[in-house]
Parts: sequence; structure tokens; C-alpha cells
Amino acid sequence: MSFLSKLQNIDRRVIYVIVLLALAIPLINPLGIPLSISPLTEDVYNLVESLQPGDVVLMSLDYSPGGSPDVHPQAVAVAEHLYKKGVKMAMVSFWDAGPMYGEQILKKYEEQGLVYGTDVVNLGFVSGGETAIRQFGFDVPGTVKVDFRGKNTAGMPIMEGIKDARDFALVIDFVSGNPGINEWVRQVQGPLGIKLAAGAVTVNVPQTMPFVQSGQVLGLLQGLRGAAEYEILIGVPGTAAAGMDAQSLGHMAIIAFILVGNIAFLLDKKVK
Amino acid sequence: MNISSNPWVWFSAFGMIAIFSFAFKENPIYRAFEHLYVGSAAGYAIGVNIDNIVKRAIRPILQEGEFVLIIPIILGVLLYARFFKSIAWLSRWSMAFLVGIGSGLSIYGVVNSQFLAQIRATMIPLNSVNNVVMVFGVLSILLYFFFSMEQKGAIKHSASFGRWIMMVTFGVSFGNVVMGRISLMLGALQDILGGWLGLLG
Repeated sequence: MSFLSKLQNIDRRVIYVIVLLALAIPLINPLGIPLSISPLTEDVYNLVESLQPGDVVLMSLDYSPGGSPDVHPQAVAVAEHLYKKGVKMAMVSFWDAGPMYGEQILKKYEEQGLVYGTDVVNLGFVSGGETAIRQFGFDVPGTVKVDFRGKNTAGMPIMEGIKDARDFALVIDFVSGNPGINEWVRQVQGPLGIKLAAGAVTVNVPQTMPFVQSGQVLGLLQGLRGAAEYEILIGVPGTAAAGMDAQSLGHMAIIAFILVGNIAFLLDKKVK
Repeated sequence: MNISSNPWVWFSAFGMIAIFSFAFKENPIYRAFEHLYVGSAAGYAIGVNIDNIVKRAIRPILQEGEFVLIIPIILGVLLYARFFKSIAWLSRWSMAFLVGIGSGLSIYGVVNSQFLAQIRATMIPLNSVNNVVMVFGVLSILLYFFFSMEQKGAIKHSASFGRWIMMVTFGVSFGNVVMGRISLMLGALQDILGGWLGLLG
């Protein structure tokens, strides 16, 4: 096999090892590659920044362990911003794994003094997909009479005045698939005209962009990069920002493989 | 280096390494952890759903007398009738209900929010490069899928432009998929290098 043929048929294990090294080395020794802030991330930041202390924001945690490395850091960063602003956080999920992530986020803020039921609440998982999102959007207290911890939501101060999704100052859907942003837009945002933003797993970004362009979704965090940008905007660099060097180097490694393979293919064709 | 002393962190790290080992070769350790993952995910889902039924259906019926909830419970139980040949037809009632409600909700939502709203969003002034690309991109892609007229002359060129726009879109989608997969890998590496081995600051 000629050298050019070998370049076109690199063993996949070699590619895995090189990509692994490209990701691991900058994680251990950060390179400090600059990170620009996307206007869509700024839109989400500005939406949260415009909220007043005491407002209630709904975080819809619609992701599972498969998408959580991409989406959960977004939810963590936005929750930190909400906490700093004194905004109350209600969490709900239309994915069964969602409440688990809600508890992870709330644990930190309860330790810092926020009162469950007054400042924060985890409304838990509502089964039924698109139908459940519709039902929740139109009748919040009727859909979640009991929260994830088994407590009645009726007497909770945070739920006072909440009848439908319009009563939340902002709804942010953190999503890695369906049901998610499509369902929120067509079942709740469209009919009720709520203020809706999203944090999407990177794979879902292209399908969410039309909603941003049309103004149905007011801001969009795009995968881990969106989380990193948000962490930088709120001045609390976390795990997402720490991973951006590695992500850049990982992309460079993949681009290099694509270029090498194609150049070898063209040269090989010319030689033959 | 500050290795974690939490046995669950060790277990989680071994699980991730076992799953990653598939990249090199299929092996029994990978298979064991794959089955463990599928089993635990299914168990978690069943647990959460049973909890959901108890909290949102059984308890309201028994404690608050909301007997109307018996109707969806019956419809749900009827879904399992398909496992018994003699009464399998009963499951069609539940399916008919689900399909009817699902279609009704989706059709309204899709037409209103994903069809009309998107058409409105494309009716924009041609006062910037972005707007021009978007409007002509949409029109040319629609022409590409217009089969009532032979594609020649101006229509052919426009449809060809539409094909290029679609190719760029597919490229963007693929780029996002690569970026997403790298992010997932990064999440696992941060758990292994940071949470387990304590190598990250």
C-alpha cells in the first residue's frame, strides 16, 4: 500500500487516540484560546438581566444523561445568573431524567440559603410529551398539584399568582430532543405568546434557528459553547469555559484529518 | 493529583472507560456495562413513571376524590389488552384516543407556529445581505421541490442554487453534530480527569 493510500485509510483507532489527546492535553494545561460571545447568547443574558428580583422564571429541563454534558452546564450557568439577580426558579421536566438535574442545581442554592417552595421549586416530571407541555402551559397548578418531592404546590409562595405559562417572567427550555423546543413553540409560545428562550444541545441548534429568526424564541444557548459564553458573561467561568480550548483543539484535529484525507485522495488520483 | 475516594466516582469512571473501550474493540467488559446502563436507565424510567402515576393519579383519586382520573387510567390499562388475543381489540380505543388528541394538537400547532409563523418570518425587506440570502434561499429551495414544470432555463439555475443552499445547510448540521459529539466526549473526560483523577484545576 502506497503512502498516499495509507493516508486515505488511517486506522480509526489512530484517529481516536489523536482526538483524545487533542481533548485531554488542553484540559490539563489550558492554552487560553480567546472565546468570542455569540449575539444569541447575549440575547439570553440580556433577557435574564432585564428581570426584576422576585420574578419567577420557569426552567424546563428536557434532557437526559446522553445530552447532559452539552446542556446541563447551560442550565447551571443560567441558574447562577438567576440566583445573583434574586429571581425565583421553578423547574419542570417533560423528560424523566430532568428532575434529577433539577435537584442537582437546587441543592447548591438551598445550601446557600434559598428556601424551597418560596425561592425555588422542582415541579418534577410530567409525562405525556407534547400533550403534557400543552396542559402545563395552559394550567400550571392543575397539572402539577404535587412537586418532585411530594409536596403540594398549592400553598407554596413561589406558585402564588401562577395560573398559566404567561405568569412566568421568562420560560427557558433546556433541551436535547423531543419533546422540547418544537413543542413549547407550537403548543405554548404560539397560542399564549410567552417569552421563551432556549438552551439546545449542539445537534439541535440548526432546527431551532428558524424559531430564533422568526422571534418565537428570543435567545439561544448553543451547546457547550453557549454555556461557556454564558459563564464568561456572568463572570463565573466553570466547567464549560474550561473545556473550550479542548473543543477548539479537537475541531482542529478533525479538520486536519479531513484535509489530509482529501489531499491524499486528490494526489493519489493525479498519480494514477 | 488528587484522586477521588468516593467509590461511586470510581464506579462511574470505570463505566465510562468500559464504554469507551468499544472504540478499539468489542469486548465483554463493554457489553457488561452496556447492559448495566440499559438496565439502570430502564429501571430509573419505570421508577419515575410509577411515582408519577401514584402522585398524579392514584393519590388524587383516593385522597381528593377526583374520580374523573379513573377514565385516563382505564384507557391506559386498555393499552395492555393487546397482549391478550381475545380482548386485543380493546386497545384500539386507547390508541384511537391518543392518535385523535395527538393529531388535533399537532395539526393546530404546526400550522399556526411552524408554518404560518415561518412564512411571516420570511416576508422581510431585502435591506441586508442576510435577508437577501434567506429570502432567495427559501424561494430557490421551494423551486427545487417544484415538480409541476420542467426544470430548465431560469428555473433550473434557481433550483441549482437551492441545491447548493441545502448542501451548505447539511454541512452546518454535520458540523454541529461533530461539535456536539466533542462536547459529550469533553464532559466524560472532565469527569475522568477531574472528578476521578483530580488532574484538573
